[in-house]
Amino acid sequence: MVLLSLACTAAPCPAAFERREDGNCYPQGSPSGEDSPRGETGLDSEAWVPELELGDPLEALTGTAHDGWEFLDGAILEDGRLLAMGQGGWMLADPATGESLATGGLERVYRMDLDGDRVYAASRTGAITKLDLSSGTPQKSASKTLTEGYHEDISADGGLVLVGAQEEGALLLDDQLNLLAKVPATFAGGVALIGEVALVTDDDELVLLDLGSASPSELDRLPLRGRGRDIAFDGHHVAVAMGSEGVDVFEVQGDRLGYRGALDMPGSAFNVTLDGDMLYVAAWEVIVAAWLGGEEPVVLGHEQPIQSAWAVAARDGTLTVLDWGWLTPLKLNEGVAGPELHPPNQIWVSPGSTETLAVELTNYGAFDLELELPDQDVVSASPSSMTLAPGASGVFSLTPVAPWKGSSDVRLLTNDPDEQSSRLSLRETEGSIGAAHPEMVLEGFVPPSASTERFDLADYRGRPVFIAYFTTW
Amino acid sequence: MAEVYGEEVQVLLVNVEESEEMAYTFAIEADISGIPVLLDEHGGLYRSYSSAGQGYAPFPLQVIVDQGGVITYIARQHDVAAVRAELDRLLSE
Repeated sequence: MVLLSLACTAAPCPAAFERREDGNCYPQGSPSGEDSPRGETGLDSEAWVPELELGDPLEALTGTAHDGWEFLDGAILEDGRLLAMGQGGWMLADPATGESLATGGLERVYRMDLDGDRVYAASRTGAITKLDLSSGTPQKSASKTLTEGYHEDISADGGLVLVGAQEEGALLLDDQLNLLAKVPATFAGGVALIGEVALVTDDDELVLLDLGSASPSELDRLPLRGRGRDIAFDGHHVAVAMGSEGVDVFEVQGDRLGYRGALDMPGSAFNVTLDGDMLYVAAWEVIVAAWLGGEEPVVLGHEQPIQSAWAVAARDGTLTVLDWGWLTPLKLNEGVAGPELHPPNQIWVSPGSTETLAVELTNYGAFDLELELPDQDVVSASPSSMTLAPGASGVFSLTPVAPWKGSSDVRLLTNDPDEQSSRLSLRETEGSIGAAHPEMVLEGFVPPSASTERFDLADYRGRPVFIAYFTTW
Repeated sequence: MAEVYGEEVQVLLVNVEESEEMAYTFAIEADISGIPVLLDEHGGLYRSYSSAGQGYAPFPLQVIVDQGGVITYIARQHDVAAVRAELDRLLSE
């Protein structure tokens, strides 16, 4: 057995936090001692250190593709079925295979939450919809459009519903979707609700609220490393997804919030899900499994989705990734963790270049990551091998042995259980500054007209062109 | 940008990996008028820029191409001042 050292997970404290003598991050200026984040737990930190063996903690199993669907959120119901929602409506599926059991149409769902046998679904810009599951399949029972802006998140418990509505604040609704109260916020993003305890991200702060009085009252507020987009809350653990800033982990201790630590990952943390002490993060490029049972959160491992990880549905160890057009079951292997490498998709090299490239690689996992570049026929590498501690980054300097042309893969040997033979893909530059823009011929339309025509970037020669890529979410 | 520069600069909006219907609904709701909305249905162009890769904020992605078709600006943020500075530079050349 390898004893996982918590010291290995120590990363720089986020902005507005400071590292104190015990090695933990605390909000700057916050009182120490019994008011500190761990002061009220009374547990011996040694007892929290997990014993883990080297292995692959998270494996994607064979999933099912669903053409025409874009899954954005989902949950596993008490009866074990998966309820997946997104563009296409709702789908009840077998979480073990991703196969559909039943479907129904609905305005595109952005976020959803369960409350017993009721489902509350928020579209991005339109209605909030309540569906009743008591008959076995979702039946629409109420629907209301409450805002003119965007919905960021929704949470429901005990007949109350909380909606993160950006600049309009957090909206507290009853089970018929009537507005009970508005919690003002600069930017209400993620929301969570259990009993009379509510959490709202207000831009880059996490706010703890008491709903027990006539109007929601603020109990505590702590800084986040970025703007919150989603909250997972089980009454104790709190995880906040902040897009490219990763995930911040807290705990609720009575009427106070305690900061527990930061999780960094590739991609963009979009959705967080708790299942016991396990936290799953859907971060588009990767699915992250982290363990929250210790003093600081620990990343156990990553898995790559087939398309794009939008959410993980989890209940009692059953896991399915809402994988854009796929439903992909996952298997958690308990008691193991790995180093985690996430090599860049491509490394771009200018044609004819012999200049040295700096390729930075990060170990996102829980064990030392060993890296070796055995073949040096197209590039010479310095160093030819390295070991990265958890959370550490290192740079390989790659120098083309001849003026660069075309594409080559450089083999990368690692001890990451699911990336043992990885590769660095070196490609001749296409779309980089100073290079000609790649050919761009696309279908499109000029609103308000909806008629489709072909557009060719080359037709705009002689004028600067400003190209803005966007999505509707 | 289209309002600031008029005909001097061509603005192209490119929707990534969504349906034409969704892109159209979004454009109408956002009061976009007279600006081409292109569909990068499989994200191929979106992923072709060399700054694509790990650790980025996926959107927005903004690119400026000069009068000769050469890329002069790529950013994964909406930095109005930087975009205007670059367009002003290209127009003054």
